[in-house]
Amino acid sequence: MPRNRRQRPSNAKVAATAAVAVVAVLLPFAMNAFQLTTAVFVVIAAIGALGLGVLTGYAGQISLGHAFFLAIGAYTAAVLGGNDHLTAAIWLPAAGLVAALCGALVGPTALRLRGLYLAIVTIGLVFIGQNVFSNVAAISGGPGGRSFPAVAFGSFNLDVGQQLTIGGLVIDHNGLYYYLALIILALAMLYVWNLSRSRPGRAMQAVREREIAASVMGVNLARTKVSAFAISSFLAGISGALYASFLSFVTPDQWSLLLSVQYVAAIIVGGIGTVWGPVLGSIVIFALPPVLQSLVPQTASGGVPIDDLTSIVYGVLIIAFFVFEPGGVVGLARRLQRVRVGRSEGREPMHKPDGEEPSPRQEQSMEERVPTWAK
Amino acid sequence: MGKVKLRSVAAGCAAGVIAVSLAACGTGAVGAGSGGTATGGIKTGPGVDAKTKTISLGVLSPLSGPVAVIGDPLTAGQQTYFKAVNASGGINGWKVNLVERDSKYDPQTEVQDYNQISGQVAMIAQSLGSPTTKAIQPLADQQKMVVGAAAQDSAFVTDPVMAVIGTPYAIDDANALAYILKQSGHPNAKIGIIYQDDAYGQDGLRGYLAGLKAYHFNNVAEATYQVGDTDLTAQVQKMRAAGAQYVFVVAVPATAATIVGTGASQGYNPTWVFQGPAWSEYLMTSNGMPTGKPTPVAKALASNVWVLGYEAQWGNMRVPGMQQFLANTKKYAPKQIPDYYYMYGYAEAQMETALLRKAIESGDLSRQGILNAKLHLGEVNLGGLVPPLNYTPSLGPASRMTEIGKVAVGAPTFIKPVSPFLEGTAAKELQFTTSG
Repeated sequence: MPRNRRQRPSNAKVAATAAVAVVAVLLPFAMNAFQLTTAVFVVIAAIGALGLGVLTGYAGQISLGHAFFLAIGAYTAAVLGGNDHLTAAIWLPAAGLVAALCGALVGPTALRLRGLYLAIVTIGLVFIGQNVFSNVAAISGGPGGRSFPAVAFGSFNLDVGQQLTIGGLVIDHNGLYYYLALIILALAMLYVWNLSRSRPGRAMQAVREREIAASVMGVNLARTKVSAFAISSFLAGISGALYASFLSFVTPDQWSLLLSVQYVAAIIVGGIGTVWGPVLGSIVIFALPPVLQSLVPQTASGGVPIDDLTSIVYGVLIIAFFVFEPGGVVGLARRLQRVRVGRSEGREPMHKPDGEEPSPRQEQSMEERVPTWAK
Repeated sequence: MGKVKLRSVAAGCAAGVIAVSLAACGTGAVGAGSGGTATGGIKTGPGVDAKTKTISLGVLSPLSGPVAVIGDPLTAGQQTYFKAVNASGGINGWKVNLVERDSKYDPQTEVQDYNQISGQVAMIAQSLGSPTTKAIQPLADQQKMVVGAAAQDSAFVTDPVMAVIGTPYAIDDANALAYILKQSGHPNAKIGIIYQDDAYGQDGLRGYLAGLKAYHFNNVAEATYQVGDTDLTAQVQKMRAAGAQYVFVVAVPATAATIVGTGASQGYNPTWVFQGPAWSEYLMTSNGMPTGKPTPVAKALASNVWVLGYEAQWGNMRVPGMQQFLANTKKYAPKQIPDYYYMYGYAEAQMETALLRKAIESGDLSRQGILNAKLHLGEVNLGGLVPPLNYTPSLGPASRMTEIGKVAVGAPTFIKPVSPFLEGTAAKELQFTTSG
């Protein structure tokens, strides 16, 4: 039964995806400026997280250098769009391509190094990047940072104050960025979904499970790893370019190790080795802090300890999450689905934790999804 | 190989089309709040409630995280002044309400916070930090939102919406060199600088180089360090080898203390000239008060350290506004320890009160009205807590004056005055141009 579901999306899945798409499209009209800004950051981050999902989730190569590739994309956008005033139709793809090229150059190191060793090498990228960016003022503006171009196609730009009116419907600057990022995210998800069940994608998963076995079966390790790095970096580059463009001003210390760690956290929280995982994880990692903070009543009497409290709650939530649901948000959804299926079949799933089907199989496959470095 | 079939893509597209047409029935919640005219003929804008006669101001400040040591007291200073204003009947009858958000000193959080409150505030009373304020600069420019920028970065003084008080870092360094020249009478002293490798350090370096050039001093050594560096032996050694007699320190407090401590342990004791942010009372004692336990580096600091700044000495009763300041602090923030960020926040609130009063008197509290009031505010005396400011349409820094103090154990905030406000020729001539 699970095989069947994997090969072809069931009607229920198609319906659910369509429902999510509808919600995502309608969302800006139900949101205020703060919520919409947060949503834009989340959707942009989800594009980058999806990229890391390919590299770490599917190909099993842990990378803490994602911030570096985000930065490469951002600075490509800055040079082509900001310095040379080219259209976003050029700099946006170029941001992805330049980052992909850098990724492909880094990829071969993964042939010699694995697991934690690879993680340390990719940390090196972040440090090199930060030092280079701090000192090449022509590109990054030096340590003081630089401004980034708004997305512009010809005469139409997404600058602050821009409004698009479609039949009495006004979409502002935030909304325009939201839809642009949403379209890119949807295309990227479709691509990754297809990739995961194509030959190169299967090769990546084989490499993740056991490299030697994969290579014995005829998987070209070099090509698989390098392409995983390139695809991952491509999406990171696009995400970084959009991020910097939306934020309008970025200093080099923004591309820090912490940013990389947030992306790693996003794909793990969401559910590693899935298409929806990085997206759901981005919502948790990038939207939860501002939302938590906005829930706290901020009065003029200085809510100082409360602000610290939200950070603590955020940390505790993440720890609790992993303790109770290592499969991430996607794992949680599957668990709920199992409970529902169990009920509809008149069973009490809670009483049969070791029952034959489908729970143990699902548990097992989740186990397998956790790459060897995480064990 | 279950790849996506065209049919499901088509279904998705159809869903999208339906969604858009559904959305067309909804309402777009856009608009920066429309203006209106209240009773009494005052034109109002976002954040101005004519019924209750309340003006809401936004505060975007790091209230948690490492930079909260600056954000907390600065915000408290603003709260104190506005509480005093409200208690005395408000600004021409208008009460002030602060809407505070924690920026965490993070540009992304700052933009989110800004978007969250921009519709409900008349102006931003405080935006702390250079990278954070630059991230909201395009939004503020477009919405004509006046921003009280708590950052001495030279870049802000040329933006019409940015209301900055005090003196840019670059000018402080140029003025310190003017004072050294005045003291010795000849430019023979050997001068060096250790600066942080970021925008703050660059700004200090700019004024330092301008001053050296104007007064024909010898630049014997320059050294940089990265934020977070804990070993500064190489930098100190470089100064010592070059025989620097005055060393400018454009750093943060922990680093500045390390530099002085390293020098003392090697028997190298030049005059250390601290940029304002390099200094903190907490470098001297455990609780920042003279009653606290002295720190290991306190003795070295008290031997030969100057501190550059533009704020009055805490408790100096010859400053006209000091008595009122201390009385308000005692009444509204009794637990506040002497702190220069607190005083800065208080002075910033004075500037904003003057600005809002002018806008009210002009009968226009819309965004444009407040911006006009800021541009034509002219000279405003801030009780001597910081130098008087002068806002004109031609922009430029609010002040070009610097005060020099010396670290001393006995003084109330460990600082005793060395030179009152001074303004050298190099500082007068320092250019501020519009730049990213």
